[in-house]
Amino acid sequence: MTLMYPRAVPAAAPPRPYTVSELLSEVAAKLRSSWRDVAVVGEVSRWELRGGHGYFSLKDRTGCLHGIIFASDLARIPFRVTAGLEVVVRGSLDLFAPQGKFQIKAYAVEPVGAGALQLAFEQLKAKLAAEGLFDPARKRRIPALPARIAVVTSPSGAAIRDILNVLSRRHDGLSVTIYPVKVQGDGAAADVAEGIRRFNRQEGFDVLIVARGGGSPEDLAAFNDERVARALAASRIPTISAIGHETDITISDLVADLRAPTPSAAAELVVERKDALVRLLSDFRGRLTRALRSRLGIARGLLAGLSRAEGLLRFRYRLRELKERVGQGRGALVSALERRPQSYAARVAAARKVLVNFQRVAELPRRAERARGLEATLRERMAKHIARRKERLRQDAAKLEILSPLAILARGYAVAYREGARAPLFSASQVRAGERIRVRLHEGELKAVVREKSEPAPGSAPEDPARKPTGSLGPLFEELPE
Amino acid sequence: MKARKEKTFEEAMERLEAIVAAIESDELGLEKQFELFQEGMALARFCDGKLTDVQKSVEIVLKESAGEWKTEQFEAAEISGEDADEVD
Repeated sequence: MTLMYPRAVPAAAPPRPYTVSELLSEVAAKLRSSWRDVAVVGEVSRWELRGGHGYFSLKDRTGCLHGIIFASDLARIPFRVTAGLEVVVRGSLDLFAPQGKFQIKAYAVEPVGAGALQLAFEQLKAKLAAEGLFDPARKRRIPALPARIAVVTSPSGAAIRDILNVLSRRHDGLSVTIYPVKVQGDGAAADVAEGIRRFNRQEGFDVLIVARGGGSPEDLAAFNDERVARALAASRIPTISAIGHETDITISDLVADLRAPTPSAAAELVVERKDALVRLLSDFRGRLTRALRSRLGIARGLLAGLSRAEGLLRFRYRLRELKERVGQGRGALVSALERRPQSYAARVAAARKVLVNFQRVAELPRRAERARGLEATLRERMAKHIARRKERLRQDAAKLEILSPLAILARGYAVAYREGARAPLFSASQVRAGERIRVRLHEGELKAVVREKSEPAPGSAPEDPARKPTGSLGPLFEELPE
Repeated sequence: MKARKEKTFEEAMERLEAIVAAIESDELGLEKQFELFQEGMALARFCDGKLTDVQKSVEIVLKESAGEWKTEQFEAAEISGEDADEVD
């Protein structure tokens, strides 16, 4: 670039030239001192984040101003800076020497029109809405009977006091557990979000109330925080949001399953639910009983009417008649059945006889055969037996022949008997002279008288007759073999 | 969690409501009606029990017990002032 001097230069000696750095430094100092705290309004035409710092351009119809906001200052801005946003930037003017670039070092950015918080709210609301976090479809029902109530709030604030005031009207059936948090200032949002998560790691809570009393929009900021919104959205326990006064709407209110206008209202809601249930239950009971009673009453009336009705009486008569007939029928049946076994028994006996006979007939040929066999055997045996007996008899007869006294007599011997006695005489001493005796011969008998007798010599006296067996034929016969 | 899921209060109330409606409709036989009446009364007893079986209590979580879940009774006296601001 060539320096042009269109007009005549002053006569004075030319100034000592600055070095570039010197000049920039001098200008920079002037800028800083003259515009130490300046506010400038314009539309954000460029916005970049690099290393946590924000780089931007502001423009209006004809001008453009570059700017920078350091990370520490940027963190305090609640909303997101985006291109197209009308903002008022406060800061100091400065010169960026390496590029010879004039810029504003911002320490605050405010949206034009609505406040920063309002803008932040709108921006977060739009973002979460786009994610569907406010979708009515994902809202859970508050249980009909919330008995165990979790409350995330300040333990010393108005909210918990209001809640407990309302709940203490009930003397039974409600348990309240408080997670104490900071509800405003640095760390409040993180604290509240952690409280919501802590309750969700526990079992048994029916409903979770996030509560805070009334305050300025800045006081309620924690409940417009994205972290709280996300903790509420992730809550397993159905949530009730009760923040500030009735007119305050927070992001928490939008995400929670139910919004209560105030903390007291949240408590009322819980209590009323229970009261309503008690009433409903009592109503159900009454209706059940009444319905059944009236139905029973109708049924009883109907029954009474029916029992008097002529038709029923006729029916009863008919019934009795039928009953009698059934009785008669039963009697006949019974006696018929009783006769039955006897006739059966007779028939069975006859049949058995036939069967037995038949069996016998069937056995006849075999029996006859056997009988013939037996007869033959019997005949044979009998014949043998008879033969044996005949032979024996013959032998015996021969033996007897020898033994028979008659046989002896046949050989010429004789036997003498005293008259009238049956035993033979062995000794002459047994008779007296003149005594009558009988003498038996082989053929016939002699009646004789003893004329005289000769006694045997004493030495040769016969044996004592007493020793002789009575009935024996004497020594003569004893010598004979058996 | 029990293996067999216990009937919830809400389920019982819903069933009870249905029974009341059915009994009032007069469309059922007396026997069926009586059967429903008995079931209804049993459900009412169950619900009544649920309404009263929680002990009244107010507790505060002790945050200092990191990780561990500890509570102690919350004293109403801790609420100070007539109209305490939200202060921490």
